[in-house]
Amino acid sequence: MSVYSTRLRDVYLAVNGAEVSATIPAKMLGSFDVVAYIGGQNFSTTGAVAMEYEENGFQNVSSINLQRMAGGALTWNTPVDGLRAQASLFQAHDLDTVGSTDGQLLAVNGGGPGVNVYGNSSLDSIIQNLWSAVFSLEYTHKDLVVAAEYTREYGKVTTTSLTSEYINEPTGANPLPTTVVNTGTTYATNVGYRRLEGAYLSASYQVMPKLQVSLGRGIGFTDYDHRGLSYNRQWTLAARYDILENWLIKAEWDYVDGTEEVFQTENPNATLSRIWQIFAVKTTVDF
Amino acid sequence: MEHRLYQILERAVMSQSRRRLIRILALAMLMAGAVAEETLIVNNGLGITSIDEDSFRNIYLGKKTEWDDGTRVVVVVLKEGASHDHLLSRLNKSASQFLTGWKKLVFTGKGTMPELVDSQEALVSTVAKTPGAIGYVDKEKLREGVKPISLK
Repeated sequence: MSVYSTRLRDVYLAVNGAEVSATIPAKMLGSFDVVAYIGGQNFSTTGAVAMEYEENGFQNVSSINLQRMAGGALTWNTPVDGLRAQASLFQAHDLDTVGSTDGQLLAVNGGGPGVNVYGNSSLDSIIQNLWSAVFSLEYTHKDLVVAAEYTREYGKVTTTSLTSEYINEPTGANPLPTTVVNTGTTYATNVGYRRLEGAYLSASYQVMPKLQVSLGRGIGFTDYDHRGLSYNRQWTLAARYDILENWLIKAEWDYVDGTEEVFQTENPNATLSRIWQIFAVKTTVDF
Repeated sequence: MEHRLYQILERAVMSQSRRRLIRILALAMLMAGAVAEETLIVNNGLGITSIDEDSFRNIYLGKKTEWDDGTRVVVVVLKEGASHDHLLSRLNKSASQFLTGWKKLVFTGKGTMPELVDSQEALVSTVAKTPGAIGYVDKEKLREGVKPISLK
């Protein structure tokens, strides 16, 4: 299980840049591991980040630029055998995404009775500072591993649209031809917020040398200020079997209450329901 | 000859009886259809007896997500069927407009999809076991765990 957005996991975990790490002994308190990094990332205009924008009004993404990413993690290896705690922080500075949207309905009957007005617009969305914090706790005792994580993400998203082409489209049984009219340009600014929150608790047990089973409970919210809007509460049952030293197979069943983290681009024609289930099988070969 | 006449008379009487029976059955079915009333139901744990028209629309269109006591609203709807059609007509939405509207909320992180169920029995059962749940069913399907509420 993970508290990261499944779409954006690579964004948080992969940075092109520099990293320093150190281990600091702390006598009776155990020891601390410190990691800090700074760098950037090259985002594809068809990748996961672009898909996030396409969920939110962009029809086409032409560029994604990030000025800087920085973050770090502090891990406390406690004096209690098998108990670790970690806090990590991530910041993305000036994430600027440019794109466009065509044929967006701007006004019903805006061109007169029975004539709707559509617009073609260019869009520019900037997140000045995107913050993500994760707190985790892990306890290992013999063949049992218990883990818990909590995360929050915050970002203010300012989107500016520039509409320069308006289209009058008559409705009705025998509509008149569509006409394109240019009546100048219009700027509009929209401010939104990313306020994600997630947590999980899981327990894994090594039943046999090659077989591990896990049970987990996770929750997630799209907006921690309005948790009732979009949420997920899920149970996860998973098994991992190591077929060979470098070949494993995992099977996972999730029972989900909620539709947070359900994306249009991945479910264009899906029949959605509040309660749903996933069964997934994954195999990994290392060589 | 007498026996044959008796058979003809018997068939005629039977035929009349059958026709009468069919008419009575048809009338009964018509009346049953006419009196099959529908109602809004909520989970018994909610302390409400009615909602107003605006709340009704806002709940079913995903714009009201919490009850006045702070309980999360859980909308339970049928995948199809006469009572679902009546619900949609009260909302003035087609089936596709209804689902598209909800999907738009889900995909933009502004809503959680209603729970879709296959039958009225499943709908009532889901509302009965889900705190904050609301549904729309035939009155005759009411059972323990749910209560009807009126629309003001």
